[in-house]
Order: sequence, then structure tokens, then C-alpha cells
Amino acid sequence: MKSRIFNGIVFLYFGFFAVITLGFAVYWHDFKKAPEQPIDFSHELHVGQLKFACTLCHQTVERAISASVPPLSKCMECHKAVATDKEEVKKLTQYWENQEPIPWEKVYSVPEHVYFSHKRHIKAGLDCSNCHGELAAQARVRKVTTLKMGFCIDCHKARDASRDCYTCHK
Amino acid sequence: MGFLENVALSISAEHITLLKAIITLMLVIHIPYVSIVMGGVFFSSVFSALDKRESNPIHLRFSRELIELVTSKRSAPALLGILPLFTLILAFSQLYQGSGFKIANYLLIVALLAVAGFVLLYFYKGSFSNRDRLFPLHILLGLGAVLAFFGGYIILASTTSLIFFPEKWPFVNTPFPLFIYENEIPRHGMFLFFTFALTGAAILYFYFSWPERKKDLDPDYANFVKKFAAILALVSVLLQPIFICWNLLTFPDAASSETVFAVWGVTLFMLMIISMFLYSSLNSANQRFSGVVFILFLATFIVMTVNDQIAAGNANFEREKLLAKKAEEIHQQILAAREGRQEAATQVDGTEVFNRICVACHTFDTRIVGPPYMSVLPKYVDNEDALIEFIMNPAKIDPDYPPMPNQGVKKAEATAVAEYLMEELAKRQ
Repeated sequence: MKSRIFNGIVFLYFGFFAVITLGFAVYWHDFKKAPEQPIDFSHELHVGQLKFACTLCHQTVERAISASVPPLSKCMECHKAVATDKEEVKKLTQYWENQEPIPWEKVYSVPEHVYFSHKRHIKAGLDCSNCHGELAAQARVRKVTTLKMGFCIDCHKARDASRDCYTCHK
Repeated sequence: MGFLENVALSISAEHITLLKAIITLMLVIHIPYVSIVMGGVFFSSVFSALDKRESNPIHLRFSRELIELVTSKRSAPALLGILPLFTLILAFSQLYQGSGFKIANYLLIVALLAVAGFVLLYFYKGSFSNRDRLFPLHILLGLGAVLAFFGGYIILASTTSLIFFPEKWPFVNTPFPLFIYENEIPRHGMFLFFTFALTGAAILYFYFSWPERKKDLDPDYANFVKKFAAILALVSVLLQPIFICWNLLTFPDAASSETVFAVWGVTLFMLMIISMFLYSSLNSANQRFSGVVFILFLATFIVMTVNDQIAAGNANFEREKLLAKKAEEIHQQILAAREGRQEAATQVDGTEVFNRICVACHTFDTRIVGPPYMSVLPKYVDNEDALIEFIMNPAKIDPDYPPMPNQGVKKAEATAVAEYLMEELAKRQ
């Protein structure tokens, strides 16, 4: 009898932690996993195999706060003629013909209270991979860094960059 | 330990899988053994000190037997302790080559502390003969072994946890990667209580189920050992879910996957079964489950180790892919050189290369994606080498056109297609 009561309590105890684990899994799946994109654009193909520079598509990364998502016209410079038989390029062409922007899912973002300038970081000599990982090996972009404050501070410390609050929190 | 990185070989996808299998195997061999040794020397020291404070023959006997138990196989410290550690250093150095992760340095410190731990452990065992006369030295040796082992393996727990955080690697400049990030504490807790749980399970097994066990245990002593070991293991197992969930709370997203969460679920289930068996052992005179509990503990550890390898693979997915790609490129270069493909350049059909690759973006007369050949080829007349170089390493020249992507053509192919293009140009001019 005592054994049955103990087993029941143990079952509830481990069940409780199993539910918490399931909760973590669902949260990760819904909010943290690499999002599906409207077009399966592959950085692995464009950066890894074709060796395109990041700045070819993200044209404002060296001169603005935002790196900018390339306009459709940029993609169509090549894809009017290249790989037109591919399913994903057909989707791209459809957006182009309908004159609709592609509703990309954002992967990297910083909170509103953080001021982050791509331009300043590129000028300081950082490589895109310092924050975005090895995109040349990513078929689908996923967030490989936390972008938490500790991540920024570690790098600012190592490079002797400003750690004044006002630098990032305007 | 930088030389280990310098002698690191390029590793293909198959080698990466093999290295991970070796790492898993070494951890599965090493950690359970060393956990039992650590738990054994810790509780032996505790019971020896307890007996000194208040004389109790049961405590003294248990203290002595525990240390005999963990040192019963003379070859074990070398085969299960030191050898796997140095294999791990070599395997991790290969797997994390060029990453900036100083894992070999950290593991070398672990190995040195483990060696010190084993040396002190044997001195501590030897000091039992003079325990009454030299008790301070005896207990100091026991404590020294405990500190060396626990210090070393806390560093190991931190290091293996750091694998999940590649973003931290460039910024860890201390020789001991301790207390750098929040995930370390739950991993220390998991390791510590796993050590105690396995020690308890091992005591139950080696006292009550092992074929070579002592069979002349008096009932009082047997009851004491059973209660101590079962309660130690049970409490430690019941604490594990707290640390598992704490670990998941602080676990990096990039290391997570559906499989990782599912395996943690399986781990919780296995721990639940173990705790039920342990409770049954505690309340029964018959210790028929102690063997099962010990095997289940080892199986749970294997599951947890495999899960950590899956998570490490997730966190380092891109780096491993690039390592394998680099190795493949080197392999192809070696093959090309071996088969004399470069000398066979003239045998490659330039027309075939043109129709397979170039035609998607170029014609001779009109713009498609790239410029028409008639407008760009004339500058390469009498300078075919420059054209071959451009085909192999294209760069943006005209701002009106997108840059030509690198097509990855081999020298022989570039030479053949350049010849074809210049011939066609001559015909059309």
C-alpha cells in the first residue's frame, strides 16, 4: 500500500516536470525555432556556393542602421533568367508580377530599447558572422546567437568599445 | 595545447560522426566510473570522520570497504580513468579545430586534477593502516582526493556545457571556464547529484547483487548499507528533474531541437522508473532490483550523453558543415592531382561546359543576366590566362550588371571554355 502511494506521488512529481519540459518544447517550437519563410531562400547556395558578398543584397549594411532586406528587383536581376524552372523562383516571380513585397519572417531583432547600428559595427571591422553565424552553411536562416546584453558586453569588452549605457540605450 | 590544433587533420562528415561516436563512448566509459570513485572517496572520508568524532564500527567498516570497492580493480584508473580522458582531449581537439574554443586546455586541467585525485585516493587508502596514529594526514588525503576530483569534474561539466554556447568561445580568457554563464549551475547540479545517485546504486549493486560480493554481511551492517545507499540514490534521483528543467530554462535556442526535448522526456521517464525501484529496494529485505537499478542508471546516463551530443551538433551545425565541406574540397583536390586531371585539360569539352554552365546567363549578342560576350571578350584576345582567371574567380566589374557568381569550375574546365569562347569570338568578328 505504502509502495503504491509512493509510486503515485512519484508519478505526479515526474509528470509535473514532464509537463514543464513539454512547455519548454512548445515555447521553443513556436517562438525560437528557425521560422518557415514564404520563399525557401538559401544562404548556403548564394553565399556558400555562389560566393556572393553579403553587401550584394544587403546594400545598406555599410551605410545605415539597418542592413535592409533586398528589394524584389534585386532578386529579379538574376532570376528573370536564372533557375526560372525552380519552384521557389516561380514563387518569387509571382510576387514580382503581383508587385507584392515578400512577407519575410524576421529572424534577428533587438528590443526597442536597444539602439544598434549595422554601419558602426561594420566600420569597426566586425564580420557579419560575428553575430549571424556561418550563413554560408545555412539553408534556412536560424538565430545562432542570443543577442542578449551579455553577448554585446562580451564583445564590447574584448574590443575595448564603449560600455557607456547611452551607447546602446539612447 | 595549441599544437593539437596545429596538427588537426581536415575532417569529413564521416570523421565528424566517428569523432562524436568516440566522444560518446569515452564519456559513457569514463563518467560513470569516475562518478562512483568520487562518490566512494567522498563518503568514505565522511564516514571516517564520523567514526573519529563518535566511534562507530559500522561507519569505520563502511568507510574502509567503500575505498576498497572503488580501488578493487588496479587497472581501472588507467583504463577507465586516465586513458578515456586523454582520448577525449584528442577527439575534442579535432572536432573543435579552428573554432577558438580552448577545449583541449580545459580538459588537460581536468586530466591533471583527475591524476592528482587518483594518486591521493591510493595514498588515502594506504593511510587506513595508520589511521589512528595519523588521522589528520589520513583525512587530509581523503579531502585532497575529493577536492581534486570534484574540482576537475566541475570544470568538465562547465566545459561540456560551454560546447552549447559557441558565441561565448572567443570571450573566455580564463584557464578555468567557470561561472561564466547561467547554464553552468544546473549542469553542475545534474552532475553532482548524478554522481551521488550512481554511487548509491553502485553500492546497492556491489553489496547485494554482484556475483563476487561478500556474503557474510551481518544483518545490522547490511541494513545500514542498504538504507544509506537507497536513500542517497533516491534523494539524488528525485532532485534531478529540478536541475533538468533549470537546465532547459537556461539552454540556448540554437542547441535545442524536438529530439533534444523528447530525449529529456525519456530521461525523466527512466528516472521515474529508477526511483520506484529504489523505493522498493529501500522497503524490501530482498535486493533483487539492485542490479536492474544499476543497469538503468547506466542506460539513463547513455541517453543523457547521446542527447548532449545531439544538442552539441545542433549548436555547431554550421561549423561542422563547413569543416566537412573544406575536407571535401581538399579530398577533391587530392583526387584531381592523383588522377592527373589537370594535365588532361585539353580533353574537357569547352562546348559542353558552356552549354552546362554559362548559357544560363550569357549569349554572344544579347544581355540576359550577364553582358553579351561580344562586348566583354575582345579585351581578353591575346590574354586568355586573364579570362581563365576571371572564370575561376569572378569579380564585379561593370556596375550595370550583378556580379558573376563563382561557378566552382576546375582549371581544366575554365581553360576549355575560354578556348571555346575565344574561338567563337574569332568566328563572329
